[in-house]
Amino acid sequence: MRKHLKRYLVSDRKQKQKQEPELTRMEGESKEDVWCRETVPKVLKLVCSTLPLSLSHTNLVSLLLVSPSLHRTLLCSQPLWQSLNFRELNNAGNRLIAALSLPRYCNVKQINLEFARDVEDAHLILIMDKCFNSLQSLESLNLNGCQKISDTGIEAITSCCPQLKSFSIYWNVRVTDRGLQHIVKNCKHIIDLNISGCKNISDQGAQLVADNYPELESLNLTRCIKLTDDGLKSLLHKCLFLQSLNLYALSSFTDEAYRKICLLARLKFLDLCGAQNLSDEALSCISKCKNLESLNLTWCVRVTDEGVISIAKGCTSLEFLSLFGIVGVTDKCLEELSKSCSNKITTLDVNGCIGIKKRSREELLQLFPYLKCFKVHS
Amino acid sequence: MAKESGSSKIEMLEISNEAMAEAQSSKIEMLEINNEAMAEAQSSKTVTMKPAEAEESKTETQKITDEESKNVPIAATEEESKKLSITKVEESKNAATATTEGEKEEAKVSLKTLDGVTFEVEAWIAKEMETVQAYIDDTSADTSAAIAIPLHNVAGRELARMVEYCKEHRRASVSAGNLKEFEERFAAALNLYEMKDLIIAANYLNTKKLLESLSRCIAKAIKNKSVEFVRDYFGVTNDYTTEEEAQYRETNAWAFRNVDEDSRN
Repeated sequence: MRKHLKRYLVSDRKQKQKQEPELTRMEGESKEDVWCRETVPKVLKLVCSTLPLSLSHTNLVSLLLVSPSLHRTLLCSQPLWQSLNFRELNNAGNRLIAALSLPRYCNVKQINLEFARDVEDAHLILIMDKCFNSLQSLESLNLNGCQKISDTGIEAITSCCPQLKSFSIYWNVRVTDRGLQHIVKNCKHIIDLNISGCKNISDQGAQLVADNYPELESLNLTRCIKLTDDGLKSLLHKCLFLQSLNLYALSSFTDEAYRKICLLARLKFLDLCGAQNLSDEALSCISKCKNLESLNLTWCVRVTDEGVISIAKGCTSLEFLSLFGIVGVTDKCLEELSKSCSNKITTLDVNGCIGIKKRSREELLQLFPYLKCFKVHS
Repeated sequence: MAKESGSSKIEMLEISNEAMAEAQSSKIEMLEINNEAMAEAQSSKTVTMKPAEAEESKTETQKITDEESKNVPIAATEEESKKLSITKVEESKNAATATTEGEKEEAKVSLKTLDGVTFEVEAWIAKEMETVQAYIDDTSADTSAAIAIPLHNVAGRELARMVEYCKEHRRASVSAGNLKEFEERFAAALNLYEMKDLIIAANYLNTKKLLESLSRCIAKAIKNKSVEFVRDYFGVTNDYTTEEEAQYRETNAWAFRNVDEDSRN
């Protein structure tokens, strides 16, 4: 595949040179010019635009250095310069500042600093001071695992991002309700919020989110262990557009809060892993979420056949279901699930459900012919 | 000698045209015959003309790589050349008839390329080419192949490959493994020069699957490669001055992987 046009041009020239050396050389050069200045840039612009995520900004920057004509062509394609990904890179804070100071990143829409562990408040404050205008179009900011960032850094960076729609800062114990206060004040359009593992967020923070983001579509509260029923209820009463709700490893909620999940008519994804207080009664309320496609009930130890059967009857679009570790369910609930969801379910985990006797792959496939995955938890 | 070669070319064209007319009347798919006719014309040119003349007479899109020309049957004499052409057309007619026999007649769309070759393709293939589909929708054109839709930016060779891709892609789609294997095989059969033409044609006709497949292939080839590699790969000369390049590298040092020593970097 690496036989490029140059080969044709060279052979072309050799054949013609004897007769008209001067004229031929000029023709050859013009062909080569067209190839270098028009064709290659056009092809690479198509490649980069067709697959914007397959080439990192490192690759794109390398392409700019190939030739001035390629540089010009790629710079004209604004969508190529709307994403910066420094995931797991060191020195990411300084790199980000250097990148944002370049004109081509003046309309950046996505920044990913996930696990760029050296990023700290000072970097974010510097960005606010030096690159304020470059972030005015930012829609997605991922600060997952950046554990040196605190509420101060969040205040600085969010003050530059009025258009932010997606904000993620999981596994950061330095973030508190004050950080959420800055987010809701500066970013009015958030629809996707991930504060998983931010253990210092309390009901007050949940209330802030509920009051300011009624159109929130995705919320991850995994391991926000200070939250109580009151915090969750305020969210469920006000964020009625939620499609994804992750309550993984939050064992302190009770049925009083779980029942209110039925208010989320658009809910598609619900993770209740470790909800040890969840009862069949609350689960039958949740079964009113008709659009539910994914439900994780791993280690919901109080649940029995009754609760799962109500889900089977209500949530007929279910594609993913985990009952891992629930000892109170039997073959009866699987038969009921098979009646209503057999043509949809592709993932079903019944490992550790000692009450279910038909647990072999063959037996499960008889009930659910479209099953592809039999184990969610390893 | 020049006269002879000229007349043999004309004869070749006549044979091809007759074959095409026959094919149309018996509702045989044009694609295979066009390809055969083009291949024959190429091979007879190679035989009867001086190499330099042959090279000059080819358009950019018609140049055949060394590897490809090995696969084109070369006739020893003009007589054999005629026989070969007729035999080939007969073979392709039989093959086409065999595939269409007993099958339900499907609506066809006529497409005319910039080099004047007309293709009759199934309606579902035309649908894959969103530009063609848009033309049909806009003009409310009858898809009975009465009017050939002009494709001003696509040569016959590229269109033939695109049609082949659509058909093979459909066959391979039954399993993800087959599809991946087919796409790799399809891309491997092209050199960069052909791939360039095909990408531009796929973009013009908005054939998304093909465009993505070829883009993936090129992206894979240049991913995480040095600037020098990319220049060499595309046969591009470096027009930057030493100073410009040095300044550019300095400004964009943050983007390159060797910014500082770190195993994760």
